[in-house]
Amino acid sequence: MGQVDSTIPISVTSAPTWRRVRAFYPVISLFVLLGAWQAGVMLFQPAPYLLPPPMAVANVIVSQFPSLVYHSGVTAFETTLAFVFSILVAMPIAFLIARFRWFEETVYPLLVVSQAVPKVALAPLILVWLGFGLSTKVMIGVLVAFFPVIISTVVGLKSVPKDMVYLGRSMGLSAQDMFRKIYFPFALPSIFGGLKVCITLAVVGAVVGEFIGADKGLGYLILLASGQMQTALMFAALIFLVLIGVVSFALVQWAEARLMPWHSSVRQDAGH
Amino acid sequence: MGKPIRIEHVTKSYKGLEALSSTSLLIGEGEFVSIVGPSGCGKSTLLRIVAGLDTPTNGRVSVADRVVTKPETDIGIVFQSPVLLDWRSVLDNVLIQAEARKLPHDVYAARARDLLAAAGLKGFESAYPYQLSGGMSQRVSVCRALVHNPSLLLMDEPFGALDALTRDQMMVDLQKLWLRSRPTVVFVTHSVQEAVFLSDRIIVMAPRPGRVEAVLDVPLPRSRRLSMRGTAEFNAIVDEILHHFQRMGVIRDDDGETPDNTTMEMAL
Repeated sequence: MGQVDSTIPISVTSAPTWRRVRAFYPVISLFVLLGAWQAGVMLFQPAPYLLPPPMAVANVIVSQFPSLVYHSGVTAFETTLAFVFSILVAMPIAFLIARFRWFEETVYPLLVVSQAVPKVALAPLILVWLGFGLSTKVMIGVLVAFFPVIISTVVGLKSVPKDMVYLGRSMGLSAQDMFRKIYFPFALPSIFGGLKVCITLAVVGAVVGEFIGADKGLGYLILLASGQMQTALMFAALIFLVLIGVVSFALVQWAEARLMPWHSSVRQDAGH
Repeated sequence: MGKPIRIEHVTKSYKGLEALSSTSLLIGEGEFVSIVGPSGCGKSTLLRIVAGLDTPTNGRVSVADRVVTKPETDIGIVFQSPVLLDWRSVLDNVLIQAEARKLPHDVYAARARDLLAAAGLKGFESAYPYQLSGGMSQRVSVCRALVHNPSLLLMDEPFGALDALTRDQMMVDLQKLWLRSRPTVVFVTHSVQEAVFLSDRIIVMAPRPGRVEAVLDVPLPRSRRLSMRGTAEFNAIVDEILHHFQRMGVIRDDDGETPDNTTMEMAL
């Protein structure tokens, strides 16, 4: 017993320190990677249009900073809209699928089959229909990103335990309250799983939209830089794209932690 | 005070398979009735039918002379698992009953705190379900079933997932809580001792198809103490129930043969 007691204070004080140290691990591996890149370029001297050294990329980021921020803003805006519209489209469909057997039987197979269509291949068609504006990018983003939200929401709503439904009915909950107080909160962890996939796919959709026809956005910038063999600029644009992906994912995760502090995916004490 | 329950010629079939054959029972107001029996004897089915959560194939159930056609709401239910809502604190889990019924929050918050304290959960009102042990969670779910002062309390193997020591404490606490408001209780269990300790009357059910095998009175005085389980009166009733199970072939007193039914250990 005494042994157990004496270990407790140690683990309590050392765990946060350990966590702080471990937070630097990815930073360390990133610098190792950049060092290897720089060393490789110095060693093999490839043509700059094939592989620029990291310092050249850094220089471009500094010199083209306003332009990169502008194009990032465009792509981030398209991504956000695609994400929001994905939710607006997917949630009601998911609710209907979970609620009505006939709706599930009529719509679900179609949805699954539709996912076999490579959505990138649909992009030119969307371009023909919607033109060169914002709506094309958002539409492609939604097409690419909405499906995981449907799946995860349906799974979440359908996994409410039978006894929990009995409980709600025995309390006389109305259909609306049953949804608000039981089904929706119960499905929330699963829904967030889908939203995390959705946000990363929304970035992909936006960039694909910019590839096929745009005069702004990071996808456009990458194509432009590619045409002019400005490889360092391409790398810079890619880095900003990664930043958009990481930041938007982190925002979803932050919302998750705010909305459901009780869930094991969020709690500090759970897992490892 | 509880309402009486009248079960008349109730049967239940699933896809032509008879789960419960014609059952009739009268349960008095404020009576504590246990249903004991092995798996597959239709005891949970009967409980759901009384709650209006399932419809009988034939026959009918009335609560206080009103035929049950939809889920009863003047009711508290406790399941084998606590079924707490993970996203609500302990207090809010109990208070969902008041919320669902649009009852005044302040009055019921005070009542819920009082009940939680009586169930040994003082200080845990703002804890979340993931912070509770199995026994504590089940206590919360008992409080949730009682907070709106229902006339009917239905319990479906509520202590089945708990360890033996916790079960003993839960029995004592349940008796205490029940004596405060005296709802009519239908308590489904595998445990003969639990049934005898808690009940005014015990329904012994037989499996395949589910049917009532015997009805026994438990004339032991209240409030009962755990030590009562050592008395001759207590054990006489336990033996009588076990005798019924032996006669049904649910348990066999034969060391040379392995019983084909897993309910043996649970019945003991």
